[in-house]
Parts: sequence; C-alpha cells; structure tokens
Amino acid sequence: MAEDARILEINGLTVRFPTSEGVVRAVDGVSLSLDRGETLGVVGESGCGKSVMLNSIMRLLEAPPARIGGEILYNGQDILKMPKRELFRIRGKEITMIFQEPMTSLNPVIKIGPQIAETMLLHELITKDEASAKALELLRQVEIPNAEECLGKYPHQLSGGMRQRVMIAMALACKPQILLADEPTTALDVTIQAQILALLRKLKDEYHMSMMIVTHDLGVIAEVSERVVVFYGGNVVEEAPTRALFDTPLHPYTEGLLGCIPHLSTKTGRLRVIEGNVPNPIDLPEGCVFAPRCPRRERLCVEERPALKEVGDAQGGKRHRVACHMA
Amino acid sequence: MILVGAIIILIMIGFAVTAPLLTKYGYEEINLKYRNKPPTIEHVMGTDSFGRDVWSRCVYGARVSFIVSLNAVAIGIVLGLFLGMICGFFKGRVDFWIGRVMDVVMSFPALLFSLIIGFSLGASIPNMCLSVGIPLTPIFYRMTRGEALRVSERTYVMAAKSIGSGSIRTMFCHVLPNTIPSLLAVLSTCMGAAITAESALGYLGLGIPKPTPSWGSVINEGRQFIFDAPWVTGFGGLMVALTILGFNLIGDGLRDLMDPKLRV
Repeated sequence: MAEDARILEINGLTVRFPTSEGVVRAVDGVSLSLDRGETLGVVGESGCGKSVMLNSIMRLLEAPPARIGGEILYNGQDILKMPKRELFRIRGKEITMIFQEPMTSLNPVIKIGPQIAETMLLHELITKDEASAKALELLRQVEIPNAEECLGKYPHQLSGGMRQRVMIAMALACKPQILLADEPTTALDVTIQAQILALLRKLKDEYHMSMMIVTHDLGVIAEVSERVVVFYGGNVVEEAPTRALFDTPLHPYTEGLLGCIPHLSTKTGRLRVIEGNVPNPIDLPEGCVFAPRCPRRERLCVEERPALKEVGDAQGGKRHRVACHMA
Repeated sequence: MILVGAIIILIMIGFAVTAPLLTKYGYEEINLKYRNKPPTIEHVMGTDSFGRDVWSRCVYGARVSFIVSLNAVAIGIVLGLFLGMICGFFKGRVDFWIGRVMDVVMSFPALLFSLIIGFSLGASIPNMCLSVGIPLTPIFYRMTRGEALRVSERTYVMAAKSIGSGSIRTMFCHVLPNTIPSLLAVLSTCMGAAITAESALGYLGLGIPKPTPSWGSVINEGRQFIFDAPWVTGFGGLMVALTILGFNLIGDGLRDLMDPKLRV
C-alpha cells in the first residue's frame, strides 16, 4: 500500500496515568493506521483505553498527569510533538471529534447558531453573518427540522438526538479530513442511533473524510465501518476487515464478544458471557492481556505477550492481524 | 423574597440618587438649638448632637455607603474572578502560588486588613474602596476557582478545545459564562458584607473625612449620646440593617432560583 494513502498512523502509543495506587496503563503500546476515506471501527469494553486513545489523537489529555509515549502521525507529522499553534490550527479544522454525551458536550449558555459558527470563525476568514449562514446550511445537512428556529435555541431546548446532530454539524463545519467519533450513538435510543449512523455514513462520503468510530457496540461497527480494530486492556488484539472479523474471528476475545450478542433466532437458554472482568490497568498481566479470561489459555500465554501477526490472505489490501499465540 | 429584597435595595439606591430632593436640611447644617431632639414631624429621625437632621445625614450617607460598597465589590469581583479563573483553569503551579497569596489575605481578619490600609494610606473614598474590596477578593476567588474547576471538566469544554479554541478563549468564552450563576448569589451577599465593612470603618473613624456622612459615621457620632439620643445610632443602624437584609434576600432568592433542586 502506498505510504500517502495513510492519513493517520499511530505507532506504539502508550498512555499512562500515575495514581497513588500505581501507574494506570490505559493504552499499552497500540499501533494502527487510518487510510484516506476509510471508516475504522474501534471496539472494546468500557475501560479498555479506546477513548483515551481517541483523546490523545486530539491531544486533549492533560499531560502531565498523563504520560504519553509513541507517535501519532497525521500526514507524516507527529501530533504529539506539534507546536501549540499548529495543533490549534489542526484541531477543529482538519481533525474533529464527536463526543459520547450529547447532553453535556454543548455549552449550555451559548445558542446553537453561534456555537456552530465558532468553529468557522476560529479557522476561516469569514464574517459572523457568513458563518451563521453556513451554520444554517450545516444544520440542514444534518437533517435538523426547522433549522432556522434551531439556530436561536439553547442546547437544553433540544433532544439528545438533535444535540448529537448539532455536534456533527459543528464537527463538519470546516470540512475536516478526519472525524473521530467517541461512542457517537451510545447515549441515544435505537431508532435515533440508526438515523445518526446513516447520517454519518452519508456525510462521510459527501465530505470525503476518514472516520474513526469508537464504540462497544458491534452493531454500530457492522453498520458503518470497513475495518475493525479490537481493543482489550489497552492493547490491540485483532485487526481485520469488518466482514472477515464477523465471519472468522480469530482472537478468543473477539469470538467471545461476538458470542455475547443476543440473537432473536437462536434459542439457547442463557446468553453467553465472557467469564471474569477487564484486567486492572494498574497491573496488566505480563503475558497476553486476555489470558486470565481465555478459554484456550496455555502456559505460553501467561508468560509471553503475543505480538500482532498477520494471518490469512489480505482481502483487498486489508490485512487480518491477530495477537494470539493460539491463532 | 427576591422581590422584597429588590424593593428595599431600590429604595435605598433611590435615597442615594435623589438625596437633595428628599431632604429639607443640608446634612451639615448645624442648629445648636435643636441638639439631640427626638423625632418630630420637622425632623423625622430626630437630630444629633450638633442639631443636624439625622434623616438628611442618613439619606446622604447612603451615597457614600453605596459608592464605597459597589466599588469595593467591583474590585473584589474583578480580582477574585480573574485570579480564580486562572487557577481553576490552568491548575498546577500558578494555582498553588496564587492560592497561597489568597490564604494570606484570608488569614487577616477583614477589618484588621481594612484598618491597616486605612491607616497607611489615609482616609479617602478610593482608599476605602480598596480597603473594603481587597478582603472580599478571596471570597470571589474561591468561588470562581471551584466553579472553574468543575466547569472545565465538562465535555463541552473539551469539545471547545477539540474545535481548535485556544486556552484563553476557552477560558473566557466557555468556562467563564458557566460560572456566573453561582457567583451572582455570592455577589449580593458580599454587597451586604461590604456595606457592613464600610460602616465599621466609618464607625472607627477611618471613613471618609467629616462632615460628609456615611452610615458608619452617623452611628459613630450617635454613640457618645446613645442614652440621651438613641435615635441617631438607631436610625443609622436601621439603614445598614435594612440594606443588608435586602441584599441577603436577593442573594437567597437568586440561589433558590438558580438551583433547580430547590425549586418546588
């Protein structure tokens, strides 16, 4: 694959938070990449470090206390070492982010119109009137009914789904290259979820963006992403094209995750679960992070951490990689 | 409640603004024939030991009292808000050092602090504003800092950063407006405190130069004759008490209005 096809490349990212009980290894050596125009899904349980990774791409983590290592290359430039001015230029203009909680991610004292216009006023040389005209256009694009009326409303006057649409409008205001979405649909109910996902997919094509969606919901992944990265305990355990992941999951954790989805058609009495809990990030197992819960565990798994290795054929240039001794 | 408070304060401000229209006698008009006379129709609040009309002195006194307390609170709020905002938003070392300075200011009893400034700089209106305002700073500082700490953890502040808003901009446009509601409630209580402080200074003779009256100096001048002419001190004190009551009522009302949990 040509090098310039990669818009974002993360190499050996580690994020640590020193606490009184010990060092929390939230992200523990993650490498992944995002191609131009691609939608990458990142799945994992709560607390596996996926949101922390997303926040460190935007450099939103406060460091210190967070200790961040590795590199995050955006068009070949390391975001982590970027001077502040450059960073402020990129944030919101080239890389933007949608947050999980639409209820709290809009400033309660600023009306919707000015709030959307702010992004454009920060990054583009336009007047306030032009910015609010554009804001209106954006609201129409994210399919908000009565867009004109909405401009003058305060966030608390909108429902969760509407607020998430406003967030999307804000994120798209400057036609970004990369859209990072942190559980964009988790706080919404199912019908709204579907609408928001469809909207994201549509807008991604219209704007020719790359998108990284972080979620714990495999349904969301199946819906929007072309490639999936499975997170566990601050590590990437499997990476595959979406189809391949659902058809032939290789890592026992991925298998477990897929097994946990309740199906209407199957009539097994009890829902399958993965035994045990997410490992304590303060003291991650020395071997495979999943070993303590793994049904296929062997001695090697406890002693040595498996590296990501390529398996099977690359489908359309997309590799299937897994970090498991047994696969 | 808030309405009663507002009415009291408006009346007091009305006194201060329209003083010449409300009074028959000048506040420094001495009439030695009428010394320490009880309230009559002619002198509704009686006269003091110089035969001056207490009503006139109270009404004119409102001017000084309000000017001083408004300016003092303004000084306190500007300093406190600014420092508190910086500390709550940037945290770290700045926070530590500004915090220690505030601790020092706070560790002085407010009145002692005012006395020190009053003695060293002399008695004048600007000095009084300073000496009343600076001890108020830590109150606003702590309030703002706490609120800024709370607000800057919110997702919308992160979202603001994520669209490329710089630190200063995020601080003033996104954090600051969200701290205002809680400050409003403290503000009105502090107005009351400033009036008290001003009166205390006037009472101790560190107020503005005589014969210009302030509520504190009215009370002070009545003190020597408190058994012969209790109305001088009494009415002066009543003005102070009513004003503080008014401000506190507004403060309580605002707090209840802002806090949805207390709303029935």
